[in-house]
Order: sequence, then structure tokens, then C-alpha cells
Amino acid sequence: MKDEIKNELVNAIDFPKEVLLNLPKITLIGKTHVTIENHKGIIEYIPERIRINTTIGVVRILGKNMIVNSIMTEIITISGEIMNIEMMV
Amino acid sequence: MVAIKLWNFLKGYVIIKIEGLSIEKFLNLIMVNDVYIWDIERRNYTTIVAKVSIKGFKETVFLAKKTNCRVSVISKRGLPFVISRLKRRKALVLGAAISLILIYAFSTFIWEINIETVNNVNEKVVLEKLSYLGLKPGVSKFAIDVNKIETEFLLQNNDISWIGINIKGTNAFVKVVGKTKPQEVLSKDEPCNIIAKKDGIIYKMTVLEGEAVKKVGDTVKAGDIIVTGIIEKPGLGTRFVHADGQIIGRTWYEVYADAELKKEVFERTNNKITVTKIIFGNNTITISPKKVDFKNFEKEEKEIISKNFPVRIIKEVYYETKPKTIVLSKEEAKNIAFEKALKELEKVLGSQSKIVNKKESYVIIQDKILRANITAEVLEEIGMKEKISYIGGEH
Repeated sequence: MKDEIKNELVNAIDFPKEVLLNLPKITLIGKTHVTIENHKGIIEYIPERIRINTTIGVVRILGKNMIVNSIMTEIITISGEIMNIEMMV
Repeated sequence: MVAIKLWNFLKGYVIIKIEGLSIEKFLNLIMVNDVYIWDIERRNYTTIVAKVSIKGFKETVFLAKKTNCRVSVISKRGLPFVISRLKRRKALVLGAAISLILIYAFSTFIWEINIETVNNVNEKVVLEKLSYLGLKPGVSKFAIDVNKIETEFLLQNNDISWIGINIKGTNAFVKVVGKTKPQEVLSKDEPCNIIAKKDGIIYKMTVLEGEAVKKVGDTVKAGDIIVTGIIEKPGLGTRFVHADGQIIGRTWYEVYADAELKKEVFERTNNKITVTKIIFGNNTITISPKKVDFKNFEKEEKEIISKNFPVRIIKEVYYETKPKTIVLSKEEAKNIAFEKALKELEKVLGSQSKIVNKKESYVIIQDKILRANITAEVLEEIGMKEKISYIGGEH
């Protein structure tokens, strides 16, 4: 009920959803760069697989030779050959 | 991306290796503690290599201990480390600073003066006069006033109509234009004769003043009087006038030019060797990629550093050449020789001359050379004014 009201409100005022609802924002540039904003930490990191915790569940990225370019409290940047992005709720 | 890399370089960073079982935990801790860490690369299951700022390094070590990881430094990068390394090598820094200062200092001098002249002005004389005025190799750029030198130069030399001095880098480009002297003209009231400049037959005469001695069709030799300025009429006495008129004469010219029937020329192949020579006083250092072992070659020399500098660098390029015999057919050789002869003829003739008739003949000399002879019949001005200098001599 509370979430529904919140959702309606967000739709009404047309504000970035990820900010108001504290959702992760995943941006994929081509197949070489991924940035994940609003994350909650790294669960696993090996060159073929990266799992990142977010508010809505775990994001799993599969690929080859992946490198974590930077990690900060708000944003993680990953580069490499990305093949698969999965949400595991 | 480049900006970030540059910023990281300026701030300095450390490449570290972290070994441990709980790498992810360590990364999360780092993230929470706002340590700037980037380019994290997983080497194997227990190791990662990452870059971390100098400021964050201490914290990294502390957090690694907390998560039972080991940290080792692979390398230190960036400006702060470069500076600290240079602090230990003061002589190197000093040398670099001195060389920079020297480069700047030497670039404030003029090392070379290039002179370009128009209208038969002697470059050496110009150089001498300029050095007398203060513009010479080795003088400081600040010590000379270009405008002043230009005006001084013009004031001192009456045969110069314009001078431009342009200083570019360490070179001074000087352009000098000489005055063209107008032809000396006898004043209208000076008595004179018209004499023949060269041998020929008079083709046309227009006498404005004076009395014609020769008539159309007469053969004249150089120096003969054609129109006289001394007019004698019985009963009137002798008058001296300024003879004036146009004498067009028919003259002949003979020119020849040769063309080789069989010619040996050297053609460049694609092979070349560049040799750099550094000359310091009497010592020469030659830098060559390999020995110049061409049978025939052409050499091109280029000086990179000017003559007035203590160190000279000369670049020599050797081009391999191959002899090649070119055989020309008679027709081709004739054409070439004829063209050459025509050019020769144009050189000899004045601008106002008109070729009326020309005959060409060809001779082959010793089976090797074809000679083209051109005999040209030309109409041109053959009159020349000459002052009468024996006034009162005869009478």
C-alpha cells in the first residue's frame, strides 16, 4: 500500500526514480562498459563473473576479462567483454 | 579519460597487490571508507592488483590487516615520486635547468643572416655594411633596432632603393633591392651623331633631326656615322644639332647548340643511406646505419645547425645510382638541339628585336654530337647617339 502511493507520487512529479525510490541504475555502454549506481557492495569478483548487491537483489554480470575500473560508495564502473547481465531477486 | 589519467599522475598513485581470501569484503570496506581505488584487476582467486592514491594507501594497509589480506607495493607512479627521485639526483636537475636556460639564452641571439638581393646588389657588401650597423651573427636580438638599421642603411647607400629585415627565430632574413639606373640620356640641346651599334644593312630610317649620311640599303659597320649632327650649308656656316631618329637595321646572328646522340646518365635507384655527421671543432662523429657501398652514388648534404654554432650537424644522404645509356634518334636530337639553339638566340637578342628569317642546318660531329646551327636575320634598332666631341676642331 505504502509503496503504491510512493509509486504514484513519483509518476506524478516526474522525478528520477532511482533517486526517490533508491533503486539501482545500470548503464551499459556498448558491450564493454557497465556502470551501476546506487549499489550496496560487491559480493563476488572474478574476471568472468561479478556479482553486485543492490536494493532489489543481486545483479550478476558475466563476461570475459572484466576489470573493476573504480568503486565508490555510489557507483561501480566495470569494463571488459560483457556478455550477460542478470537480476537475481 | 585523459584528464583523469593526468590528474592521477599529478597526484601520484601506488600500484599494489592484495593477497587474501576475503577480497570482496576488503573491496567493500574500502568503498565504505571512501578510499579512492581504481583499475582493480583480478589476477587469480586470491590476488588482485589495483591502483590507489597516496592518501588512501595508509588506510588500505589498515583495512587489509582488518580483513586478513596482505598488501605489497608493486610500483609507485606519478609526479610526487618523480620529484622525490629527482631530489636525490640534484645534478641531473641542475643540468636540465642549465640546458633549458642555455637554449633560451641562445635563442635570443641572431646566428644566421640570409640575404636575398635584387638588381645586382653584392651580398657580401650588404653583409659587411649590415655588420657595421650592428646586425651580424652572434648579436643579441634585443640589442638591435630593425627600423633604425633599415633607415640607416638606406641613408648610407644611395644605390639601394629598399631594404627589409625580418627576424624569425635565430635567423635574420634580409631583402635588398638595388636601384636600377636609368639609361644615360644626352640632353636635347647637346649636339650628337647617330652611329651604328653593330654591323648590318639599314632597313628603315626615320630622321627627326640632323642630316642622314647613309641611306636605306647601305651596309654599315659598327661605329659608322649614320646621321650626323654637323650641318654644313654653303653660306650659312656650320650648325651643330642634336641628331635624333630611329634606325632599323637588318642584322645577322649565328648561334649553335649541341645535342648528344648517345648519352650516359645516372639514374637513382630506390636505395639510399642517410649519414649524420656531428662536427665539434676538429672532431667528427659519424653516425651511419651501414657502410656506403654503392658503386655510383649521388650525395646530398644538408646542414641542420648553422655554421656559427660551435657544434655542427650535417646530414648526408647517399643515393645509389645506376648508369644508363640513352640513345637518341636523329630526329629527336635535331629537335633538342634546335630548341637549345633557339633559346640561345633569344638570350643574344634584345627585347625589341624581331626575327624576320631563320635558317637552320645540322652537322654530326664524330658520330656523337649533333650540332644545330641557326642563322637568323633580325630587324632591330642599330642607332646609338654619340656626343660630338670635336666641336670647333675643323672650323
